[in-house]
Amino acid sequence: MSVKTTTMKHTTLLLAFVSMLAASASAQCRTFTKKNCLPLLEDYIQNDNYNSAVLIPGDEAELDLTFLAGTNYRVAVCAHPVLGEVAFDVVDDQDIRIWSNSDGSDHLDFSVENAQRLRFRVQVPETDAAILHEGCVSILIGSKD
Amino acid sequence: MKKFRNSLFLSLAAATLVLAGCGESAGPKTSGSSLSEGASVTQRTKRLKKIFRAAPTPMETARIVQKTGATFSQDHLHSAMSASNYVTADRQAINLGIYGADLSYATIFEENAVSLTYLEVVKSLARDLGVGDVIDDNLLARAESNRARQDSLISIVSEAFLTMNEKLKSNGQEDLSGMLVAAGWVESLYLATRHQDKANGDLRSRIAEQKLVMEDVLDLVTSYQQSPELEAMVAGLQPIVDAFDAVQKEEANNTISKSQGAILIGGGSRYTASEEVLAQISSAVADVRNQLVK
Repeated sequence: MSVKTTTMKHTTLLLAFVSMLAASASAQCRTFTKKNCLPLLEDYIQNDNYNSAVLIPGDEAELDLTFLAGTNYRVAVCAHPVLGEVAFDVVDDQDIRIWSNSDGSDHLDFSVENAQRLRFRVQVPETDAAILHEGCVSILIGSKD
Repeated sequence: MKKFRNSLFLSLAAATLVLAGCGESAGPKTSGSSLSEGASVTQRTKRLKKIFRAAPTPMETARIVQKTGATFSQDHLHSAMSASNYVTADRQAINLGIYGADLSYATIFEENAVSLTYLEVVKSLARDLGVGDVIDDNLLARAESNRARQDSLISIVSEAFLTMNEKLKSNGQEDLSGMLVAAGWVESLYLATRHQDKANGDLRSRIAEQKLVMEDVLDLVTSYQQSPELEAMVAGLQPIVDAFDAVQKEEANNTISKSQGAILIGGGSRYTASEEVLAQISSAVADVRNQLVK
């Protein structure tokens, strides 16, 4: 077997291994969300999607979603404690900020008079620490009558 | 070779750190806690902006249709007998979305016997797609014992579809998840527009507002890994996109008021459609839906 063939084989194995790890990290983020974040929705029924990602200080996340009239919604933002207290706010389709969690709240309960697309923006705080940590951040949407 | 082994070792070490991240921390939610299990050191220094995509569920659409005073009609549901006709993965995923929306519709209208029939159909198609373990005998037994409790049934159905979507994605079948979501939206709109001939102003407005939901659905499914089957399905939605083009949007500012810890976002842009436009939407949706269930 030539050196070139061996190197290619190792590279393929390494890539497969890294892909497997990435998938596993994503699965662990889902597990974190299920265990630590879904309870924040209480009696609200969760939407069909997990919106979760592994973020580091300074990262942002955004979710645009249409909310329908006649339904009560809860949007909860949940982050691993290592990331600190994440800030989140809500802007309407004209980019006007209509709410922010300046009180440190981890969720917003609301309803809309007419269907609206709202944008939820999450900001992981910056840090001066020499070593950066990463953690899971999830935005969950629940609805009820 | 030695150099390669070294870099392999370093990569494994870094990857192990990544793997440890975002895990099952049972730590407090408050900030400032010490480094707990489940956190990790990152190798990344470049900041990123993560964009999430999502769309309202068929359950939400069924709920708003019910609130307009519309009545349930089983005749409009896709026949449960047809489930065995679908033998390819794309047809199964599409019709899983269709039957899932029918199931949501029956559940919201408290047609519990119909709900349980459609839950069986969903189970059978899910099994064909390799995600049948999501709807196991335990879940069916839970649904049966809660058949008189609408809130429990809604919760069971929603949880099943959430897990099914996630399983399809983690199995590398994101395209099938996309087909399921898009077909579910088409069916929920199909059911909403079956009441269109005797629709009140409320229902007309709710149908016009589906233009926004359509945009969410298209954004979501086109963000998924594309396959020729998903691309073909999205292309097949074009008549509905064209029909919604004629919906009018009237811009208005929001008003915010607070009530019992929740906020009410009043005002906002209004979507309206004339009788003619609604008829075009209804017809386009029926044509597309009837293609999907073939």
